[in-house]
Amino acid sequence: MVIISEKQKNIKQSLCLFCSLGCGTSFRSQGDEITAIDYDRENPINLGSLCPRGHYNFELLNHPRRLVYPQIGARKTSWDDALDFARQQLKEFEADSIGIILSSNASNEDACLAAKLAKSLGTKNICAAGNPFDQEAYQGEKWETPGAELSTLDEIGKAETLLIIGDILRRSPVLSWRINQVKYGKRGNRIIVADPNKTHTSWFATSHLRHQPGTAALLLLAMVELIGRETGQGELGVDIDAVAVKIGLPVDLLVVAARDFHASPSGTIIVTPSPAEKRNDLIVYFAKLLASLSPGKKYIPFYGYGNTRGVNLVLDRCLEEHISYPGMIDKIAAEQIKALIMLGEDLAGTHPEIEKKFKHMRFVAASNYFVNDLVDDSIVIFPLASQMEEGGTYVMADGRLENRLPIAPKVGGRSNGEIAAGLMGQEFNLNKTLEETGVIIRQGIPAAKTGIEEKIAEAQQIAAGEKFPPAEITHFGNNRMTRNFFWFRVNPHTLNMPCGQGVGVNNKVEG
Amino acid sequence: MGNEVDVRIDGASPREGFYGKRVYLNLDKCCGCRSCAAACAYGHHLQTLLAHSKLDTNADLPLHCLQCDQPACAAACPNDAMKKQEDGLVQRSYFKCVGCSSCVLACPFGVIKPDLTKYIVPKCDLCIDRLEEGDIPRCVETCTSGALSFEAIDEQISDSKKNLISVRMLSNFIGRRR
Repeated sequence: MVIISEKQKNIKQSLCLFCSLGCGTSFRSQGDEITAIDYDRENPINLGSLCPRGHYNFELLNHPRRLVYPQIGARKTSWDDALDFARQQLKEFEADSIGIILSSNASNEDACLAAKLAKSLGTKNICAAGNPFDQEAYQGEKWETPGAELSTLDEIGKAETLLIIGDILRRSPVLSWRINQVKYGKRGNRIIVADPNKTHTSWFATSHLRHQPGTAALLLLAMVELIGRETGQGELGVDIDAVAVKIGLPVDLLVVAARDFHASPSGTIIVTPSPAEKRNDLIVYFAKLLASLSPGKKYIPFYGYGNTRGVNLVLDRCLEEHISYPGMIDKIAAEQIKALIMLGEDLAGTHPEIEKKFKHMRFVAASNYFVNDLVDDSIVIFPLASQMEEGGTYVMADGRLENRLPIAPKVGGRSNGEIAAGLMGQEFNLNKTLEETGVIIRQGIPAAKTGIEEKIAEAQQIAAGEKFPPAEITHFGNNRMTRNFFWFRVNPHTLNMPCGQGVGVNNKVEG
Repeated sequence: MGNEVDVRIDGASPREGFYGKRVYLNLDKCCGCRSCAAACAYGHHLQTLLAHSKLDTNADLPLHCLQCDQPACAAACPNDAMKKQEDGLVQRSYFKCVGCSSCVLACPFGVIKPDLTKYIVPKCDLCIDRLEEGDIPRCVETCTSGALSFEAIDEQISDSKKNLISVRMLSNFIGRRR
């Protein structure tokens, strides 16, 4: 047993990207090597605490299964050869038949370079990938609602009322100390949780609205309507009785919840996009509407992938036109995409049915940390550098910009930005790209105009979905990547779960 | 057995400052993320020393070792692997443990979880490597909700604000009786 006589003072800090909260991680190091995980108590976001996924970051640095060299057809090659081969292959395809998928865990600089790659190839088939419901919720965030403000994390802890849609503690458990601040902080504080299931989040609720599965958008619409009537800001013409029947809750309960929410001086609406809910874009839109109607209220959506907001924002700002994530899935299913570049993302985790369609693909290049199902079938494989090895800027859930420098030497991988630059035959200049993205990020999310009536009509078409049992809190992997980590494999609660849990379309658990 | 030398504490500074301190749980604050168990695993060479039990769909109970005054696990151990130290810590020797699981059966609180893959029995050591550096155990440090605390026994009992018996556990029993 090695005795550590004096405390290692070499502490390096980085960022966790396993959800959009963006906790600070810290590691002990000896020279260049990261030796142990540590807890940074001075970080204002998480006060040193980490969820199980936060601990994966340490394992990711020196994981025995990490990809360390590029491959062409399962044969080890050099970086130059792999990039040259991929570049020549891509020349043979028409622009419309090339698709690019960028992981939502990539940095803003990676997104900027990927957009340039799409421009140089002349294709519009580029999109941010990740959880499909997260991408859907981001679309809702783009629809403009004047007066709605994004909440900061400190405001969540200081709020007097929290309206939580979905099981936020399964997605971002580190938020629980802020929720405890509200729950035990002051007499009269309220936490309203809307979730069909009894979950860990619902334990903290002062009132738990168990609506029919899939109808959270309607619940928010009913609250918007009730507050609009109460304050005289105008009715939207929603039939509350009919909506209440769909939601499966008595009207009185909705009226009490809406009054409680409206009466408190400060409050935050926390939205958790989830596969159990239908139309996550409408949920975010109505949450914004509710925040704009009631004084002192703000909203905040929490995405599953760290930089969902940043990657989407940069792609939207850099490119005049690009297809959406569902659009890309449809195109792959319709066999219109012949060559695919998957930067940091394995589609099989979120869309298992798409795996069969890859037989028709003539060229696939993939970058990833591990060899996953679709990466294994790719013709060219690039090893990927994690956020601890590449650095970059990230936009987190509360809109803050995190800029992190690399803390560990690269094991052999390169960042998505470098790979995209290599595919264009250029060199990656981080400082130059940082300046470009800085300008883009300051412009914010592009607003899309929409009409309220249109959205209400869409919302009223929502019917209650199937019963969706709560998944175990410990297994929350965000894609197939998490299967590679020790804690995910060893925890007995994760063993019986089908893969892709907590992510996507196949997230159905017995019980 | 008097001449035993514990490899871990040989040469290290005498353990002061954590005498009589224990890990306490306020279940009402717990969010069930099990990061305490994950931190335990990543801190102890990928062996989880912390067991969990599931009370209900929304209540998980981390089972911390209480470091008993008269430990039943030490009495049951046939190989003298478990031993009560002078500073109050019940410590398990990595070398002597043969993985017979006697302590698992003997423990009245069920906090020792059998893990036969490594042929030794996991037993909480209060993260002694961190305590010697003046830090607190990993599970307490990483707790996302502030449910776990590392405090002296006297402080904990005199502090009437904290619930030793959780409302959450009681509500669970009452709910079942109905």
